[in-house]
Amino acid sequence: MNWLKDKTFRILFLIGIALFLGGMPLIFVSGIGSRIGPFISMTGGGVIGIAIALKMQSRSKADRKPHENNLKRKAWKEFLSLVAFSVFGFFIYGFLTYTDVKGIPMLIGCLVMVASMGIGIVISIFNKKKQPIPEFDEREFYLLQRAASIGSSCFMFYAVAAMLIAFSLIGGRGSVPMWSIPAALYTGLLFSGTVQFLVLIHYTKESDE
Amino acid sequence: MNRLQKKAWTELIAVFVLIVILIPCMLYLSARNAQGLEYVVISLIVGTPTALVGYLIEMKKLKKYDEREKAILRKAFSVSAVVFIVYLIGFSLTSFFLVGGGQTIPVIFMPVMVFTGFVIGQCTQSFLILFQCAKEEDEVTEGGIA
Repeated sequence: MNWLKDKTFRILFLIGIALFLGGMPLIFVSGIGSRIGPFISMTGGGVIGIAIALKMQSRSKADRKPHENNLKRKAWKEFLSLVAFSVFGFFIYGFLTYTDVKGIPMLIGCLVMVASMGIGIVISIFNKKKQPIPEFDEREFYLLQRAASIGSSCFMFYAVAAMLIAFSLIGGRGSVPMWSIPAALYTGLLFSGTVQFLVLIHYTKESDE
Repeated sequence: MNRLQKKAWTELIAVFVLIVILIPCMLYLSARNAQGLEYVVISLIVGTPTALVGYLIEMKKLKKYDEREKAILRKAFSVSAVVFIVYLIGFSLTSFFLVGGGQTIPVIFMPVMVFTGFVIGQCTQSFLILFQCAKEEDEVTEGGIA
């Protein structure tokens, strides 16, 4: 929690939370202008949150000792992030469904947030390449790629199975609630992430033995 | 044409043939309003062995490739998986915010979403393999001339 001692980070952290939470009640106010307000507010909060997360990640990496059970730590870190994101995302998604928000500004806001996350991931990958000591050796990198490949295959299998089951049970001319499609997609990602985590833990146990 | 390029072209053509077969099937099922547990069972009986046989054949073929080719295949697959996931996220978010979370959407959108995602993912994978092969061929040719 060293980052909390930094005054700038503390202020940024509070502004981010205030923007994000402050945008929510504004959605209830009707009118086109009021849709743009919460969208800008929530997007701003989200972007600040992502920037802080990236900064924290880079700091924790700087303090790390090289080759210290990297694979296991990465697996746990990713899995815990996924679980934390599930809890956080569940409330946000439920809120967005309940308020039945729609419209181009909200869509753009959401896409901006997703794009910021994508840019963050790309920046972190470039930062990893710049490190003097590589984070993973060749064997670990191979195991990571293998786990990711198994996770992706599971996700694809899940997507096809979910689509076929929904299509067959509901009928070709039927309709599904809109919220079920992102929910199905998210459960697929959760399933894929869990499989990836289990595979990585299995590999680390094998190498420990 | 080396075996990687052959594999890329074969997979690309196979996906397009599969889509050409699947689109009329889906339209027919949709028009008939095919509904019920029996269709799920039929899908599973047909789909599971097909997927399993395909997977085993693919694993057998994978053993024939050398390390360099395997690395290219792994990289292409991971990029195509990311493209597939990003496409699905984009599609679902767009429809969620355009239609509204409390509304309904025709179920036919689900196969449309998944199949277009597969086509885009497969195209990415095949093009990445072809680009990589072309790049290596160019490097070999330039090295030969120098």
